[in-house]
Amino acid sequence: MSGEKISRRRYLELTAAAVGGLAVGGIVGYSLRKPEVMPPGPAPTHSMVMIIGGFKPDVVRENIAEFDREWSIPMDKRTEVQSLSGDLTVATETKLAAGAPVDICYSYPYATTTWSKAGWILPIDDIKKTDIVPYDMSEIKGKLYPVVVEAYSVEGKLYGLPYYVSDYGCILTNEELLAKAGMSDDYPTTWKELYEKVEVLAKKHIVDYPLLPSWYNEPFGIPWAFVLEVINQGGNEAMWAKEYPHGPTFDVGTLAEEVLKDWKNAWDNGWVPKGVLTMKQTDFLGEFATGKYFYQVNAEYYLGYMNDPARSKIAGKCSIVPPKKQPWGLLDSAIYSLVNRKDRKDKDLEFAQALLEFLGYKNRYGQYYVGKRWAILEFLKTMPEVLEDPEVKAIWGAKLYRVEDLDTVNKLLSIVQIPLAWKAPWYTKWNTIAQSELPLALTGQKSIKEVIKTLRDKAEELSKSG
Amino acid sequence: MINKKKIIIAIGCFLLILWTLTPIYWLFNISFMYHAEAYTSPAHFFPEKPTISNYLRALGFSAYNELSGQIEGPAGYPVKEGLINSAIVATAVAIITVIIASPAGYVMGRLKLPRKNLLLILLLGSRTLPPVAVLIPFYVIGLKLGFVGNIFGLIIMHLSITIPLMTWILMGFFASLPIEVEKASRVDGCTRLQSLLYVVFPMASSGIVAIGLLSFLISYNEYLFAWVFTQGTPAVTLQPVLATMWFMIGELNIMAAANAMGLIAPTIICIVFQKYIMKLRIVDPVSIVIR
Amino acid sequence: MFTKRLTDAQVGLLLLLPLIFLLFFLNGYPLVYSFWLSLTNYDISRGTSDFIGFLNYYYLFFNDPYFLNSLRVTLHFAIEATIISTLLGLGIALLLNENFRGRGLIRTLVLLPWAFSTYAVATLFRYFLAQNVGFLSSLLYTLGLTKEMVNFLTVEHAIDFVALAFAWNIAPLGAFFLLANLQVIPEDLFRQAKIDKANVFQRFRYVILPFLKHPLIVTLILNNLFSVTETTLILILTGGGPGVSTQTLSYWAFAQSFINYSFGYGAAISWVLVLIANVIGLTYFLIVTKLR
Repeated sequence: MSGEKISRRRYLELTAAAVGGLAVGGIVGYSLRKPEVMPPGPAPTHSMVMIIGGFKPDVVRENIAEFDREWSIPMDKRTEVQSLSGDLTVATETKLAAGAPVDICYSYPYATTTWSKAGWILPIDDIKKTDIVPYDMSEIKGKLYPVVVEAYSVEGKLYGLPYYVSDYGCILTNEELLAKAGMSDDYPTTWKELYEKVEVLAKKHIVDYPLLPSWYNEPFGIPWAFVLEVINQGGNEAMWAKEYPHGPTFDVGTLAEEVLKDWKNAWDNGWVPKGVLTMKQTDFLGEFATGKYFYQVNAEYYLGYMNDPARSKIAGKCSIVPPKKQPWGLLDSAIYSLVNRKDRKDKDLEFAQALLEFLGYKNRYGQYYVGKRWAILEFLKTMPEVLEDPEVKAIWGAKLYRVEDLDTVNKLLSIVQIPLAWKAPWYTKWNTIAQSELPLALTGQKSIKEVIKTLRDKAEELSKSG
Repeated sequence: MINKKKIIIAIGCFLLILWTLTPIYWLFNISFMYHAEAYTSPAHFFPEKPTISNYLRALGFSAYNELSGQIEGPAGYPVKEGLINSAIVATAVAIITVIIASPAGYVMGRLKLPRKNLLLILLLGSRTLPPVAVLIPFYVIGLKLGFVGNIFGLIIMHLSITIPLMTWILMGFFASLPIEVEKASRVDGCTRLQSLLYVVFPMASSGIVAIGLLSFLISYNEYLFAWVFTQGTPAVTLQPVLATMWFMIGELNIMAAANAMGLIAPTIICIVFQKYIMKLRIVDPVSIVIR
Repeated sequence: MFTKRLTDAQVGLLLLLPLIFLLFFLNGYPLVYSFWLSLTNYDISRGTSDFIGFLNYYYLFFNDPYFLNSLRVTLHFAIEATIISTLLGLGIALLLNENFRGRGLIRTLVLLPWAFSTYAVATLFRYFLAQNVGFLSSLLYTLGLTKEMVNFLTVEHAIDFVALAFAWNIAPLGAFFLLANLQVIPEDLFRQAKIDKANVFQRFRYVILPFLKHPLIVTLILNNLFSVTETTLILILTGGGPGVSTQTLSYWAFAQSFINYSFGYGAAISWVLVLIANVIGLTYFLIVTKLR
């Protein structure tokens, strides 16, 4: 039994004094109560429970309220949303292991492997349309991003529907600056080309630092930047073994070392701001929004942030580099999982399945209600079709640099890679170590070979001990 | 000579003001900016488009954003509740600590126990364990005793921090007060209690008030226990709220506004206290006490 | 009368005893628990919780490459932060002890940094010191003193800036405590010193210092205590970075427990920290007591 965190969104939910919530399963519950009179109809025998983390709980509660409204859930059986504090995976796992009554929870690639084997979450392939469950899973499965099926299937069975699917590690551009440098539409097609273009831009001395790489001090900052740059260029095989538990294949003298060399080169040449090593995510975002960089390595959904005039100076001028010769970035996502709740009676399971479909697919009226909300509010994606929705296109088309960027994002998401090691429980510890080790290669406190060797040895040790 | 002294004092004051106020000015500067302006390089020393929207949004209202021309909703953090709860808890802690630590400090200060200093150093030494390490056992105790989720538990936890600390500080303070005045009052016919209340405590009042102020601030600024015991509940205090704002994709300008509002209570306390200490100027013709 | 006094004091002690017991328990239980924890390999993410004796400590001292670094950083930070805070506090107290116009206003101002919580100070100084959007670097750049935006939080100097932020926050505590003690010094002594034509330094040594010895010890010990156990400031200001250059023992213990979930190991580091904190505190105590 292990619970380790990987997804970026999960790290956002990590808070300082986690222990209280972890060690004793300290949990806080909220209930949404709206005094309304509902017509009688089929109803669950108890309130359904969804556990979430700290990201936008208000939006989640509004979504759930909509579900209760659509299904005319009586007031005393309203669906409950519990916001857990601390590390979400560990807190969720504590609850699941204790057999607490939960219907829906968030799940991540490695958690899916462990929790499905423990029998805490249910496979969803066999969900059939009934008078309560609106859709057949066969209809839904074909519409998902392929990587979702890959990341969240265990032994061929799918264990949830997407909460969000995003690509972390794309190249965001500042089109205004690029135009000034005469390099509009001259996008790099590989990581090596990116550094070449950065070198050219640096010589023009238009800004102090042409590139803002994802080397900031968060678990999803510098370690992810490293992993994605390697697997984008060399495939998953360049980092990990194909078979579980996906031990390390990288070593001194392989692509991994090349990547660090590229990094050190950029650092020494002054193409990147040295303060990036102590930045946190808020700073990292704000920095690019100052408009003083040509490129930033970031998640594609920050196109929303960068094009928002309330938050960014480059609103309307931020675009994204399409994938041509290689994919960009890695998969950052989570799913809604159906929990194997023991005290279900009558139609409770079907209501839970309906809730799952409401959240991860469409509401009972055939609309992508939740998916569209996330897309419009936060530019988060769930399914390819959501991005093709005319309303979404209209809203984002107006904000983005060009409306074709939506297609670029769709393309990026359809070929995004998932680091294989994320399906194994040992990865998180390695990630934390990488977070401290990688900067040492940049600042010169350790040589590149030493850092690669340490990372490899640690990965071996951790993957063998499980 | 006098002029030289005045100049030195003036320079000292100027530097002190600069040192103290510059970061505070920066906090307020950011708190009045829109998000986009807060991230400008090089930074603006004065908001070009000043706004109070951050304060409004932190308190739970919606506000108009000039830059985007849209109304932005409330920030979504219980800042208002946090402010109120923090003020209540800190006040209670301060009052109770003064009531308990003053006589305790007096007894410790006057008592002729062998190895008393050692005892107290041990007590203080035990506090060197980083709070982080004691979180789990405290949470377990707290849960069993019903401390979680209400302010009473938090008050007691804070008292466990302030009382030993303040007793320790007051101990030295009481010990350095001239014993003769006390003895004199006893000779004049005061009972022990009267001597304590009417002679000793007034003499030590600057110290006692100091302790009260300290306890208030320690409790107000304490975040670890506040986090564990009140996070997510209606009893949440300010520091956990600020922490949550930091760990999510914080909007720096709203955080600055929340922090600025959090300064109101401590500032008032500081002003009140400061006036008090101005009144105190103990003139004692009796001999010096050297520790 | 003397006998009666002792008895009264003993009564006082008896009244205090339950309080003392409660406090020892509230302090003692976590101490014992965390010590026990340090003898296990309790790790939530791996699901282990076996008793392993002193293995954690063995690994810490002999096998962990980060230990010496953390030790060095901790000592660097604790000593620097304590001394800066205390000297600053002393200077402020001496200044405010003088009578001048506007003293009341300045006294209030001086207390403000202490009114900030650690979170507030940390976030504040992050944006004060930020490379591209911070106040200091913007000021230097706009005034033309530097050609590019300065990065203050470098590998070599990040810890110094953390110490400065810490001193900014904590110094008023000591200042105000020392001031309260300065105010108790009888006027007569100052008059006497003037008559004896004592200069500033002699006045400080013979009139002021005797009264300040105990408060100075208290201030040094408190500042030391706070600096050695400071975790939040580092967490928010630098996250232990860049690299591990601001990873003090307290931050490291925190990171091991709450980011790595190795509570056993984190507890072991905490206990090493306790040892060091007490050693430093004792050293200050001895030094200042010997000071004459």
